[in-house]
Amino acid sequence: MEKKEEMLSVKDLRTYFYTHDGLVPAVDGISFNIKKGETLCVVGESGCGKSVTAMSILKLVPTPPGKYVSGEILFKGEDLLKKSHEEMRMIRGNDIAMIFQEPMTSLNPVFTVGNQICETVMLHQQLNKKEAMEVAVEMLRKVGIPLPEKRVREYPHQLSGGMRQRVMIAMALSCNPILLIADEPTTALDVTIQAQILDLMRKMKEETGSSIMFITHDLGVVAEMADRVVVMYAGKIVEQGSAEEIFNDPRHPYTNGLLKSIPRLQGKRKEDLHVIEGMVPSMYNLPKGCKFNPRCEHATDICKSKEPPLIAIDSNNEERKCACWLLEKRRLYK
Amino acid sequence: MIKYLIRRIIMLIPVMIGVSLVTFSLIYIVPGDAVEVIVGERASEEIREKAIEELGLNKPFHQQYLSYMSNVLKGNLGKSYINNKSIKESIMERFPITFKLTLYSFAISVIVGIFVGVVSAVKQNTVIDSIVRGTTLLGVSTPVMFSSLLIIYIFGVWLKVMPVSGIGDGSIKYFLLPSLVLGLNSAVFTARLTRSCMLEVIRQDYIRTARSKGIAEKIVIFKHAMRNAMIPISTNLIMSFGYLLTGSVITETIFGLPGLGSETVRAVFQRDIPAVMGYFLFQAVIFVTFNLLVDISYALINPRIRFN
Amino acid sequence: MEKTQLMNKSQKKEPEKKNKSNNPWIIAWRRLLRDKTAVFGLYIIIFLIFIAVFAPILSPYHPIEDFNLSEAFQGPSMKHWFGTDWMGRDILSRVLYGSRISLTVGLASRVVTLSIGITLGALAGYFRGKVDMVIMRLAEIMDAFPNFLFAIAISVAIGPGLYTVFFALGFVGWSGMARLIRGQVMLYRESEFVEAARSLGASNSRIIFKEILPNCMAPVIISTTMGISSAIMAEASLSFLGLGAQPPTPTWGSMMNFGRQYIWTAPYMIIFPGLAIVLTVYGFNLFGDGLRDVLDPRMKD
Repeated sequence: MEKKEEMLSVKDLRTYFYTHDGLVPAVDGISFNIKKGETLCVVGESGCGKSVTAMSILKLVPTPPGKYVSGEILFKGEDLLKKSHEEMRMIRGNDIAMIFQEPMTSLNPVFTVGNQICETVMLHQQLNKKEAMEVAVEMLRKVGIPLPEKRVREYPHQLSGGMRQRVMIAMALSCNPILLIADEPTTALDVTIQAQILDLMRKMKEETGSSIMFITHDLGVVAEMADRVVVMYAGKIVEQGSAEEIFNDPRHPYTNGLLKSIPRLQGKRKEDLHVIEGMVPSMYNLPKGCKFNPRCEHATDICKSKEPPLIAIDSNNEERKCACWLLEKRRLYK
Repeated sequence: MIKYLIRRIIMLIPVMIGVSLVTFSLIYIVPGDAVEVIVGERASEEIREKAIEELGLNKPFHQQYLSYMSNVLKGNLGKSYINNKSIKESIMERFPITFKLTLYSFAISVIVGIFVGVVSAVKQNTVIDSIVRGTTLLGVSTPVMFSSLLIIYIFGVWLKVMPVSGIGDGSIKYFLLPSLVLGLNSAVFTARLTRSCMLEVIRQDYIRTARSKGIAEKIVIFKHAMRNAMIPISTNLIMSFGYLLTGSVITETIFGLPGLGSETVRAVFQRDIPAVMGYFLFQAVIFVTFNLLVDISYALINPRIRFN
Repeated sequence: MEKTQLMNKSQKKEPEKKNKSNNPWIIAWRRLLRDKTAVFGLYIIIFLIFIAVFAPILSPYHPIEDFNLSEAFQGPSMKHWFGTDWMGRDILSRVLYGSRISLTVGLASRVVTLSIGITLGALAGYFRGKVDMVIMRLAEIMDAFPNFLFAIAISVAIGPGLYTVFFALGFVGWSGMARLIRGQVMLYRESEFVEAARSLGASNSRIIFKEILPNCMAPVIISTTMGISSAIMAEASLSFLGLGAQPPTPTWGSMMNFGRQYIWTAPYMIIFPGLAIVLTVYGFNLFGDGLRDVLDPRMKD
């Protein structure tokens, strides 16, 4: 595997929320990196901290109640957590752009879509209104919106959900960001539109060469998009590796469970779809030991008392990691 | 949009007929003989009969109503029983005073209310926010007559810099204190409304989008959030203008301003039936107009409605 | 750490109350009790009810009969804490008795609003069609009047007095209440539990009163609590104009009205009843705000 340049590297990030009802360790000591031009998928059930991770990178977590307790987020060699508000503003929308889950509500209803794209362009590229409008039209054309000259003057409610998400993508890419964070960009869309948007994102990535951090709970989407995958559970990374490794050789019982719960057309239909038993634990009251142990069919005593560390499991590949006591045991018995 | 407007205005006709009917019936059942007001308690039976005949008070309800309404539609609101003055003239004379008072109060309410509300929302859960919430709730709980009387006492006894009663030569200084009281009384409502609207808007997804674009917080608040919050706020403000126009009864009475509010109270107490009827109808018309303005403005500011 | 321990403790208590804790009203009540401002409002309300009930015992003098012109216009003193009025009556006693009028008006007017509003709103929402149209047209006519002016009109029409105030202030609120109920009834009338009741052959009135209305109590409670404070405020204003309970009945509004003439020499005649109004309305507003936060998840900050 060729070594690519690391573009973003998150080290031991902890983002906690201090709420009336107690402490929520939404992101609890996670480390990963994104290389130039690659797509990293962050997978997990809702509430596992993947969105908070994304928001932390842009420092958009509301503080209070949120707090970046520890860690660093190195972007172009500089720690984003140490940056001032002003410095962060210059990065947001310019170097790092973000697309959100809800296209229906993520655009401001009282401004035209052209206006909203222009705003970013004028802010970061010092263009005047007219030039910015040209960029906006160009961007809308690039993301496949028909009649961009007309659409640019329309309000969000005049566009369909898919169109709005295209607008969001156009807006996010309008300043040629180095990193695009996409937080479940297709979850709220119809399946056919979903495929179109994924195609578009892949195409745009090839054209611009930007990296993508793609957050999703849908492994089908992961299979389509990912170069590498990070699996999160209850604020922690439980497994990470290349897309192939995760799909062909999942090591963590949770990853395994997720993979088994994808419906497949081939194979025996009669077989029941696998369901991971139990519920996502309440973040207010996490289980002791491995956070997954109450739902894990392989759980043993140590799983209930001690948290497994995230360790490299392939001596040839330091980025193939997993946090599970089972691996330890297997290694001991080997 | 124009269709909607026309439909909306046509729908007002039955409402206005209902309003006039209700007002007329209420006045019709006023206890005590209306004629007494005109001819005096000791008038002879003959004089009374004559007065009743002249005023048409012996006719059945529907005839009285119809003849009154046909006069109203001709622009004739009748004459006062007490001073024989044309009701229409009285309204023309007094309404500008009420309007001035409302205008000044409204300005204070909008400026103070929106500013305080926005600050409170932006500083949510800070000391400033707590102070604003506490003070505005206290303000909402203070009856306007109490604050009026307190202001009169403070300015009349301690700070003798401002006239505390009457209209004098009609210059602005006579309006200052009543406008201040009425304006602040309304400002606390505006501030609470602004705060809750802003908080509602600030947690919307598109605000997060704006922040993710690197837009300065000030612009996020004053452009992205305010433009959205202003939709419910401005419609409410228009309504509050309607309320102020028709609700300055107590302020006018206490500060001795000869506006329509204090004149209505006068008419009510002297059982000046045509005057009461005319004033009520007039104020209901104003109120309905403002209701209509609210709907129209809502359609105008909100692009979602404007284009449908 | 402390917090988790606390949470564990409360969890240990859970089993005893298990059957109760599923009731949303009890959950809401507990959340309300955790809201300090709402609890403060509740204390004020309880305090006022206490005063209203025990006014005869708490008052040092009789509010009406103990007049003594030679003791008129006395400032606050040990003998008369709030001073005396133009007839030499003890202002403290009159303020204490005044709470009776304010609280009764607040409650009685809500009873009027609720009975008219719920009846018409439920009819409109449940039967829809022509019934709905007629009721909503009436509500529109009602809304065309500025509330306070309309209350004045009613007071004039049926003559001033305490019962007039009950009715006038209750009546002006019916359209808002009816709209609220109508919306809720329309929301629930197609729901599964109503369908179920209908299929079991329940009568219309049974469906409305037993199935639908209990499910729309939350907004009704919020609006009623807020309505109490505005009714108390409006009663004070009507009394102030002389359209409320007639003298010598002690009401806060009329006390301020009479005090107005003596504002330069005896401001205490205005200040104490004024403060009493502020305290009362403030208490209900605090409590109402808290209720809204607890019962209406949409309004939560």
